[in-house]
Amino acid sequence: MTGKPGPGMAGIHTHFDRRRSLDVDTNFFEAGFTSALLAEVVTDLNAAGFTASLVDLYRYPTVRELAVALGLEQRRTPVVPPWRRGPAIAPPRAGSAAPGEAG
Amino acid sequence: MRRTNRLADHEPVRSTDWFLPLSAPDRATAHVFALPQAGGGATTFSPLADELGPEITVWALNLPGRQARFDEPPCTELDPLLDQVAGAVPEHAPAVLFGYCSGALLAYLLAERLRSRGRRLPSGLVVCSYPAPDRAEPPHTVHTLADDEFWAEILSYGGVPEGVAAQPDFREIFEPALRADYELLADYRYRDAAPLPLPITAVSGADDPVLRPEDVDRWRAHTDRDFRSVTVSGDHWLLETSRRAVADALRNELDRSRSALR
Repeated sequence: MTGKPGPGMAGIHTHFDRRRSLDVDTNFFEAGFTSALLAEVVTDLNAAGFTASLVDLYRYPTVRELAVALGLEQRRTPVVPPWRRGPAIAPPRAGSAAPGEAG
Repeated sequence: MRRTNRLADHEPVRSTDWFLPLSAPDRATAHVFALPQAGGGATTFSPLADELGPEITVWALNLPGRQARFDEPPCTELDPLLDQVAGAVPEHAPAVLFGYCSGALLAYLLAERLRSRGRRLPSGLVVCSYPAPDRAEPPHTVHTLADDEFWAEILSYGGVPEGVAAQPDFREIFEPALRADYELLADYRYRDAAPLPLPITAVSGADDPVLRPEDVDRWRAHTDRDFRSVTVSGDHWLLETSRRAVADALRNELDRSRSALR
């Protein structure tokens, strides 16, 4: 597990961060984003080629969650000690939580 | 979905908390507890918080069914809501209570609830763009209107930013919280109560199309301390048009309470 943002996550982070400074795990609303400001971000994200709508930003209200929902980032997996791990399973497929579906 | 966001050395803030601080509280020398208009979320106040600067922390009411609590069902019953909010008002002082539009009525009712519970009251109440509690007539049926009528009514009030209304999914985002907030006050009746033992400042826009000056002045009857009425340029949505003047009214109320403490 890594806390470092991947390139895709950094690509969406910048559209938020230049309006109000926030880290990738801070809730947009705790960072002070209004609905009007989020609507601006959506416009920018769409112009940059990301398919996200305003409601996606409400359902996935951090940069990391949004990046996972957009398939840009792997879901953070909890740390499980080796003796408690079962047989190896495939990690959740990136993009499996498609934005726009009922959450 | 619980998430924490540590603001300096303070207690971690959770996105489900009833009041969200909109700046780092440990840098503040004074506080504002702010209640938004119908359908409003905590960050209604973030431009105001920016205007007030780091010395004053705005703690914004974070109701379920919107923003950081988008995945929770909204509240539709006034009495239990007031109890929960009264139990969650931050302990910081000096602080003033601030209500915007129908949040002004909630702020009054919250002060009344704090008093009846024997809790410490904030040192002032600032109300904006709303009639006094015995003159307020929240609409009875808006929350029951069918979709298109409902939205025609809501949009006729103004206050929805253009960029938001242009989003194809904005109705689905805001409708649950809006309907709930109108339902919350649909059966509101003023209950006679003794004047509050805290000064009140009523802020109103000179061009507010629906607010009657005499109903603003009537707030005077609800305090046994000082009353001020401040008329500023602007219409109803003063946080959009006259943010600086609203910030000044809050600063003045805080200064007044600090000089009273000396």
